Amino acid sequence: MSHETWDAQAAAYSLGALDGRELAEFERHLAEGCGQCDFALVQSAEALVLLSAELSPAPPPPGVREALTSRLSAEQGRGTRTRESAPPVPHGSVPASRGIPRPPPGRVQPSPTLDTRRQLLRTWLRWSVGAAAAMLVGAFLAGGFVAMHYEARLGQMTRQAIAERDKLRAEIAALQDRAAPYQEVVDLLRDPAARVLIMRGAGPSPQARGRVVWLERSGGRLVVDNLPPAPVGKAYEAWTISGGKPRPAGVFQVDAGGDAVHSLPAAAGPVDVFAITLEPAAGVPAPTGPIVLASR
Amino acid sequence: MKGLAPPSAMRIVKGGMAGDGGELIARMAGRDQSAFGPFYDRYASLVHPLISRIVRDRADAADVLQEVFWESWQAAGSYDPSRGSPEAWIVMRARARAIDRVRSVRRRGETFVAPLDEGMAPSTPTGPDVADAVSDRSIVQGLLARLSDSQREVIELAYFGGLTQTEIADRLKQPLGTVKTRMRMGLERLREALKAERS
Repeated sequence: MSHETWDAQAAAYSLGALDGRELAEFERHLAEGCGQCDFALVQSAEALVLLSAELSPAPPPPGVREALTSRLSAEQGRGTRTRESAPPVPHGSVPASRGIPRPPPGRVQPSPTLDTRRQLLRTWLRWSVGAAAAMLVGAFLAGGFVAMHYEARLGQMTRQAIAERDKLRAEIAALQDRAAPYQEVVDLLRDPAARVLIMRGAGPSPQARGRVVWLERSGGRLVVDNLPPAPVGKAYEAWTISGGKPRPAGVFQVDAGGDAVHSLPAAAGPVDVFAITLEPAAGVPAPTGPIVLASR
Repeated sequence: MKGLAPPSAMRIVKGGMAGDGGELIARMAGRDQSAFGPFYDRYASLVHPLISRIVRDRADAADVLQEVFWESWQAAGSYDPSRGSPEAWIVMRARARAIDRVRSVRRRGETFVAPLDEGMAPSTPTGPDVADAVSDRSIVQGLLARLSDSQREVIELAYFGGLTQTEIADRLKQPLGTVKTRMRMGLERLREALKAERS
């Protein structure tokens, strides 16, 4: 490869436009230490600065500098707190051991006899047993208190976690329920035999829109949006019309946003038109209400 | 170079090739917070027009500007004066972040796909952006006017539009080799202009 090829790649690379296999090749070439390309990249970067400097001035918004200064102060604050939270322990200032208490100085004799030593031992023993018992009770109480506190806290955290988990599960289930009908539409669209028909709003709801994804052999799905919710006691009924004869294709309701996905059963023969009318909630065998959406 | 940039912008570029900018970055690398304000004041007016040109939205441009300077503060230690001027360092970061933002906005909007051509010449500009859109065209009268139309087109699509060479070739319906040649020739002209500017 002549270096001219690398020159072209260096130019594209400077502009962030090199892609695919050539990008990998060029980066490898750079990593091998090509001084010529390296120099070209540095020069191009400088030339592109000129391009930026030539753009018409656009003063930076005043809030940005303040926001950055605040972030910087916050970072400094965090840094200071971190240092304060772990103060260095000065050498040679380790606290004295509190392991064995000394007996009261007044009870110590400069040259104790056997009796006085026994007395001393008994005193110390009594003191130490008492102290140990007190420490045990204290430790037990403190341990119990700490355990209770943490148990309560852990219990609270567990309850919160369970509540969060249940809430998320419910949200996922609701999303899956909402997504499922649309997934069915997508699955239908994968079939090469699927037809897509546009439905336009008519009569009382000109703003409504609809699509039918239709397979002659197995039926299809009707996707509706912007259709106002049916009045109380009413529902929308779908019709497949062949040779001017409408056949009922199920009743459905729309959600508060005016959306619905409705499953259409297969018709006996080829369908000419799909239509939707407003009917009594239970549905009717032949249309009686106004057409709100129709294909063609 | 007559009638090119606003004098302030040229001063930044010429004066910044060495010296103060590099010192500020070095102090920032040493976590000297007092260097940050002057660094921002020095370079914000250089990179903000570039970011605005790429993202085409005031709020997004302000976000990206902040992001770029915050990253510069954090990455100041990585600046190597032998690898280029402070201007090139910050401009490269700004361009990359702005392109990232444009791409993420495109990914986010399911229905909104802004054609790049709109960024080049908005068809129905409204409000205060009218002035921006018109004045952006003034680049063509400056440095880019040294380039042929076809060179300018590929450089704009790549540098301001964030398209790769393959995407540019597809868009312009030109062979990839032609696009590469135009980019190389165009950049060479820009480098010549830089030499002339420095001398």
